[in-house]
Amino acid sequence: MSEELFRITEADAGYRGNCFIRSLSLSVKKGDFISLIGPNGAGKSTIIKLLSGLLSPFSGKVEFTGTDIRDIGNRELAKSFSVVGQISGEIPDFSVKNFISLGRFPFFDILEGNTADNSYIEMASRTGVTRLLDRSIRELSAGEFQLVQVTRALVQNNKILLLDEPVSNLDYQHIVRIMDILKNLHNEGTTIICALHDVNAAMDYCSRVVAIKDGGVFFDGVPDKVINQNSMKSLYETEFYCGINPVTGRPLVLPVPGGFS
Amino acid sequence: MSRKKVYFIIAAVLSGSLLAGISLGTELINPAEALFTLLGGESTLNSEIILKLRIPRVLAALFVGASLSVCGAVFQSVFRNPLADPFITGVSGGAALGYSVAVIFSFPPFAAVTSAFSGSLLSIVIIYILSRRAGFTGSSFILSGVALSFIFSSSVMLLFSMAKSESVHKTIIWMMGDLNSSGSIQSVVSVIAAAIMISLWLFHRHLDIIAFGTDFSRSSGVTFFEIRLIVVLASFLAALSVVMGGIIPFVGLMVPHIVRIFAGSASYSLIPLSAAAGGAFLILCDAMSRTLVVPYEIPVGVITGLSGGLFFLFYVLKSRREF
Repeated sequence: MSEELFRITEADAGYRGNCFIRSLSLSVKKGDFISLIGPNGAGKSTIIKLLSGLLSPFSGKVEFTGTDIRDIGNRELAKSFSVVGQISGEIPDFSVKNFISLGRFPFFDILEGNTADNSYIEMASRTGVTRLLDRSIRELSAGEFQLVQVTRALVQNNKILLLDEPVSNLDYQHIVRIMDILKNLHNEGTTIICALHDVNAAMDYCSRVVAIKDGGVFFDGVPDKVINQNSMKSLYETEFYCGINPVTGRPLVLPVPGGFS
Repeated sequence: MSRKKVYFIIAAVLSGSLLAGISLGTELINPAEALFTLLGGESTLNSEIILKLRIPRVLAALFVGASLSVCGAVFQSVFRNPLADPFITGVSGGAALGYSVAVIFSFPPFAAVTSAFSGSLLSIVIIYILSRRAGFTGSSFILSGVALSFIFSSSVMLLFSMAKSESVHKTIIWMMGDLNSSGSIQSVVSVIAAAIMISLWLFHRHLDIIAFGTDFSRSSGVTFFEIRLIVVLASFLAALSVVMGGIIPFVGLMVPHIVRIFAGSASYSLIPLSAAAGGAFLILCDAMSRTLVVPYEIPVGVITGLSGGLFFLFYVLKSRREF
């Protein structure tokens, strides 16, 4: 039995008094590669926010390694895990190099000079963004920027990673590159939790699928066990074809045209 | 443009403007003579003018311009809004109200500046309390600042409507920027302003991170307390600039913008470069305000608004880039 990292107990949560998440419980163990799937607005991003401490539940509890997450300082949390979220609004004009180095922030003291800290270079070559280092993050394509964001997160912490829709709206090359990076990290023992729109990507890469519907856990388990025509139909309320992906041997789902009635 | 080049150009512009600021005025002084005096040459009538009048004035412009630009650079990052300026938190409105009260009820001159400062502190306190209650997001912060500014400016109008016209005139001149208003406390205020600018610069990593939004900052390890501290320090800087130079528009909005275009948004260089460029810009504007219509002085706020506004408009139209 491996160590428990996150535990959400009977949490109600949402924004401005509207409850999105209703009495949800979830436990994340060390070494998990979890993908949260489910319809739009089901609460996937809200769960990522709960786990990362960005949102406090109205009732219930969120714990990280046994301690209530509200009792852990932001800086301590930032040292313990990293988050790739959605950056909305205007993106400031930073070079990729500067942006990735922001991942070192929790490890700096305010009076420390601008010391040359080159730990980011190694991470950049791992994620294949070395040739982008001198570009401005404003000039990058969506896929390149997402890769750069993942790199920044890994510079911050590469043991536990929370990602909110890391591959939505990206082209196939970048989906594969990002998911491959996550898979390699997972093989080295990194714990990963990500909200994903793409159910097939979730099944090809993840060790555990947690389906969220109406603010609660709809089903939770190993992809081969929990994904089938019926479970997918009740999750998304439209017809699915289910088969086996001939390349990965994992389940493959395809929504059937005209399947919503 | 490479960052070294930007540093070099801004340093050159700043030294040029310092010399111009000392030379230009009702009495034109040869820059060579000015330099000679500065290096400890013998005392003449001109050296009296330089040491007693010009240098304090140029230094006031330097510190006010630097404070406004640094504050603008910080607010634009923190509120993630390119239109954020030093007065977005209602600091200028509070100061104007404080100053009007003092002038209209005939407080002594020193008390007028203190009263203006108290007014801006009042707005900082209100903003701070609001930010604790309403949580922290850029737009709600800006909206409450705008609301506060309206309340203050309406109160100023109310006072004007009941006051004698000469005191109204005096207040209006001050509200257009007046680098003569600080007088004896100038050196103390300048030192405090410099200390705050350095503290804000020490927060350069925080500022870089805050510029990406609240969630990003928190998951990177920045606390709400640190964000509020930065906002209060920057507002305090704006309040000090008001004490030194009245209400001078546009410097804090425009200068950091232009510096960003050439040097990027990384606060480590953005803050010192904005300080230098803002100081240089205000010194030049102040020199113009003293020389354009000799022997009268045009309020420096009119010059910053006109010259800066035209330049900025021209730049925006010419570059056609998204700001």
